[in-house]
Amino acid sequence: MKLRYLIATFILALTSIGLCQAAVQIGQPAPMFTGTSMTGKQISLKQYKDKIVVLEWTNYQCPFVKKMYDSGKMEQLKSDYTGKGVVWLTVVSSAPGKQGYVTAQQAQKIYKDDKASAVILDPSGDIGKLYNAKTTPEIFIINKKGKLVYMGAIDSIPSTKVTDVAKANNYVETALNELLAGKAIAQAQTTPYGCSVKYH
Amino acid sequence: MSALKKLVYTTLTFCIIVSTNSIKANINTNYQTVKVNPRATVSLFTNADVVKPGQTFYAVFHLQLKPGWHSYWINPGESGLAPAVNWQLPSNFTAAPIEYLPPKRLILDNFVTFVYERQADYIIPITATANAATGKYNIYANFDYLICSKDACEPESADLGFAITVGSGSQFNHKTETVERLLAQQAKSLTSSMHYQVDGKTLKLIIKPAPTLIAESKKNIKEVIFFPQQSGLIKLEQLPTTTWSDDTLTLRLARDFKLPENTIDGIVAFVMRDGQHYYYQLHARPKDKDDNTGMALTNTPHASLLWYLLLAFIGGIILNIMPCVFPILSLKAISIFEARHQHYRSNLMHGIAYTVGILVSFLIFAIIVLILKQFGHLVGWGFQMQSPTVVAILTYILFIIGLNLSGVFQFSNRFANIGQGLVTPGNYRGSFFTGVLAVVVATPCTAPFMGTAIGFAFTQPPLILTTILLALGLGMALPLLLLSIVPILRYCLPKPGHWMVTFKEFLAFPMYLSCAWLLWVLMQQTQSVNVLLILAGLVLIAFGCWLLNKSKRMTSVLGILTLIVFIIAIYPLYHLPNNTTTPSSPHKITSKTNTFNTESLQNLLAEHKPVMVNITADWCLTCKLNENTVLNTETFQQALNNTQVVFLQGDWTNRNASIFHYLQQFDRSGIPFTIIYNRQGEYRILPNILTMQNTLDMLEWADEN
Repeated sequence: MKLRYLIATFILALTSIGLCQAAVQIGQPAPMFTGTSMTGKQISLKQYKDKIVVLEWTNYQCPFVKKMYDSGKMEQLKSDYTGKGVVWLTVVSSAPGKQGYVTAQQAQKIYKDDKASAVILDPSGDIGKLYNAKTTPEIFIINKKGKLVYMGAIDSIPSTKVTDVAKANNYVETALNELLAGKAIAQAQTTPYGCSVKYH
Repeated sequence: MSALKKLVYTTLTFCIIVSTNSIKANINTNYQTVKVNPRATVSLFTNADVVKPGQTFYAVFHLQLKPGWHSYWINPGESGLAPAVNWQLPSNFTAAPIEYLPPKRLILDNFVTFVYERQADYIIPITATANAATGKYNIYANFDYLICSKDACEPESADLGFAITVGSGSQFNHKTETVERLLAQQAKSLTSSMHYQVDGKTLKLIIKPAPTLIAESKKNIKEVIFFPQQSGLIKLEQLPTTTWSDDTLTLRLARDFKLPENTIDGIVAFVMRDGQHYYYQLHARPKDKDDNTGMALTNTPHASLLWYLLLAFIGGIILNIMPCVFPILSLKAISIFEARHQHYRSNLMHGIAYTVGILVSFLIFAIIVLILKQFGHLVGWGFQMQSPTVVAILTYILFIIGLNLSGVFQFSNRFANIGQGLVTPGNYRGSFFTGVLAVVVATPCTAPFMGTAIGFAFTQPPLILTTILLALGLGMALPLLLLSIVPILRYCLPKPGHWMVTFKEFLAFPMYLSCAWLLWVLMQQTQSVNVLLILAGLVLIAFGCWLLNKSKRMTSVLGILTLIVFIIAIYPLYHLPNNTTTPSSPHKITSKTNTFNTESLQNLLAEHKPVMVNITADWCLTCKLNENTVLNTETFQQALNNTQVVFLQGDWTNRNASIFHYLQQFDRSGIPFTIIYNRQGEYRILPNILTMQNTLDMLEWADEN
């Protein structure tokens, strides 16, 4: 056996260790997933390497989510940042029969004007559990190197009041601005607030 | 009762009802005290109608919730929201923040939340300022609250109000009793000193002294819950573990991502076996570093990663002289240097291939551990020895190597040869597999230093775990690597000659010895009939190896016979139970030795008994060493009898979750583990390798303190 094969084996083994690093942690590679969008497209995190990716967990019937959408803030964030090359994936992890669950048809009506790059339907909750998403809304930001750089709440005021949205410090806006400016993200992890994700 | 009396009574009652109603109607003209929402009814009441300037009274928002719905505590937990009050107060009143009653820890769909079910009361102290002018005031509030059920969350809101008069005397109303009852439900405040301490991934809360009521009935505590006011500090899914040291209570919690900012607040709840709940307010400050009393003793020094890497590295070097590895290493060393082609480059390459072989094996080992951990298995160092099948396979391998060393048969050239002759330039496969083999046979030999380093590794995230295992592998590969890198070193080796054949044959005996020990481990793990089968298998293996030497080609009749013999020899492996969960024979030493379990330890500590705990396993060589040199000796047993110390021994030969969790408390997952508690519940961890003098000193320390 040639030495270079041995070394190749070694490197291969090391990489697989890297893949075992599944725990969702700031600074660690974001776990890979493939999901189906509401239009039936296969969406894989792999296809967005070299791009900033935002994962947003949503449940259109959750009052915390409603606050963000009724105020127009969430859509403003989506159109602002997708305009700057950021990929915004909205994920619905509600199980069938649970609050926020939508079939592909329903989703196409409810999320018709949504500014996200894609709305991923995750009724099995696999993607949600992979990221250990606990609430709606909950945000994960992945940098161009595929590493997780932000996880947590959408903003600083846990409430369901539309009027609080303008008063709050929007963590996601701040983080994305810092990321686009090439700066380190000052607040990389916050406690998410909202409704629990309705897994089955 | 006469008719007249009855009439008077009825009329009187009627009059009272009418009059109160008319008063209420009068006041209610511009505010409501009750709001009926779809899922909850909110009412607002106070305990006073008239207050003096400077006096504080209580306003209470009372929620009557529909079944299945709950409202939230100040920290809602992993989802939900605490209510918010927006007061419209006249300038001469001030309202304090909501005073929350102890919540219930509710787990829905694996999410931990802190809630109130059926009904909830949110108490708010309101104070009339000292200069408040007498007169009647209307106070309005908007109460926003979120309630959730298993399936949905809904925000609801209520605009409510009440009237209060500032006068010369105070006048309480019919709600006074209700408010007093609510105030009595609040978590009790304590005068004890309360501190927190961040210790790696754990957060310690130290209450000194613990509430007398609790300390006196600590045996009856069923569960301790900590409700943290700040979010992000601790992982909510885990309940704290508690240790008592005299009257000091320490709660250990799993840290989350945030570090405490100079204070930790919350409620500690004690759930007793009789169903009683006791709640205490916790307000902890950082532990003073200079405070050397009490718990400071119990802190194991928190070594850095670098230290553990060094330990693993040294442990790896030491592995080389263990009886199972030494024969392989020495033969490899000899084979490299007796090779005819003594090119420096070729030697170097063999050294590197051997190192890579070792490192790859450790990586594979790390991957297996990580996968097992991912599936929620409780794996600690030595876990592989907890499976009888693995032990039996190792016995076979060591036995085959022994037979090879004894000269019963030769490996064909296609296989990695352990012995001489394979060191040719360009063929490094042999060296690679020698490395792999070295790791495999090293498995049963846990070197003294490895317990600590690997134990630490197993509690760490994947990358650190891997790094530590690789450091161990590097240490293991070092002696041979050095020999191949530094040519001069080889002159330190004795000159090749006939002695080498004798030496090689001699090296078979450490292998047989290892086999004997592994068989003994197997005897502890399974029934004796299984051991008999394995022994028969070993005889067949020997027979097969002998036949192998006789047969020239694998296709000959003899060759096929050999193959059949080997297959039959492997058969007993299938018969072994995959995993024995039945406790193996307890290591009874004397009547003073008891089998370890966490409950008996807690009980003994609660009774202020000094306790020594030793965790052992049959596959742990160092543990056996400790037993033979210290724990099982008469000197130690006599010393033990002369003290009040209770000796508890835990057997980890087979998987045992409670021992695993106990070790985890000390950031350990490897054994031997020996710890001693004094009467105050303070503990000291003894070194992995026990020495008689030190152990006797510790016994004395525990007995006297």
